[in-house]
Amino acid sequence: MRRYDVIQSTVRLLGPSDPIICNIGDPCMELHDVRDRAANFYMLGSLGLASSIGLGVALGREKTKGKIVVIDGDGGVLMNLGSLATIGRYCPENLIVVIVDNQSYGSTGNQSTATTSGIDLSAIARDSGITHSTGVNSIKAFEEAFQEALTATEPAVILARTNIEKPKVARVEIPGPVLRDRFMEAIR
Amino acid sequence: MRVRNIRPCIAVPCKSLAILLQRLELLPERRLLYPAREEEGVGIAAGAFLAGQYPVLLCQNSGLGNLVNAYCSLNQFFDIPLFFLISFRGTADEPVAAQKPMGAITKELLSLLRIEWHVLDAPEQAERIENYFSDYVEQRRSKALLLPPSFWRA
Ligand SMILES: [Mg+2]
Repeated sequence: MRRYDVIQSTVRLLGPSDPIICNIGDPCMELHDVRDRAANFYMLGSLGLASSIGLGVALGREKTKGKIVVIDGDGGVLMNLGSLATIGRYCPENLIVVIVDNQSYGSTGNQSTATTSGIDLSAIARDSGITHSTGVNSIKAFEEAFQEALTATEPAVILARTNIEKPKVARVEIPGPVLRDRFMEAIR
Repeated sequence: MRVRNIRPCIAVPCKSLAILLQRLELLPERRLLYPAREEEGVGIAAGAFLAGQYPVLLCQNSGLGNLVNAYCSLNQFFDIPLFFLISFRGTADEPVAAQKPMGAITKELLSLLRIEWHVLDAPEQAERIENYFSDYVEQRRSKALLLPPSFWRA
């Protein structure tokens, strides 16, 4: 399974105004390539903070408006492991964190991350109090897990184990304030 | 902290902030949140702003060093404002030597980050917080209020 497939399924299973907060680098470029939606927040800096931004949106937005989805990576989550504990503590029922684990810092030349030694980030999430936490190895299993997370009444983590393949896609060239305004408008 | 729409309050504790935090814990409408570290707090605050709220980040000035990249590549890049209430340690009467180096660069660091800052150095100045917060909401510009030991002397 490629990250691109995970992103494609995620976008397909969501409504047009469901917020997606996306990790810096290739994930942003791939999400933009799959579908450039106003409700995409391309986090073009601040590596590690995708799940924190997602937590802030989730706690601040009415629950009835649906789920907030974070697409993070193994490198990003490892940089901000405290975020899983904070999410577990405040437990926003409208948050889904997809962790794409390709065991590498894919955007910077595929240097290996700590998950190569067998660390299971979905288990860390579970022990952090996010009980709805699962790992998947195929796109079919991912879609099932994602559907389930969409109907869950608690925050969910889905760890998608992917390869490091990436299609050639263009950079996101939209100015930050434009992204901010259209995102805020779309998710209101 | 009587200001109406300050929410959520995101805090990494400092001894000087303890009494204020204790009060905030009793006010569910303030939605006090404790992140594990300051840059995580910057992320949560940015999310809250994107959801239409006006958050405040409470921390020690030592924590300012932890959030520099987050502030630049998230808040500056997307033009997302943030309101800081910062316990200002390492000033002249600081008993803890390790606080001194960060205390010495705090004002310059805020200026470098292009964050408008003000020192509130007496308890009476607490009433100014409301005005600064309103300015932050209206101008959508970041503000930092530095609160040295003299501010907490009641
Ligand atoms: Mg990775």
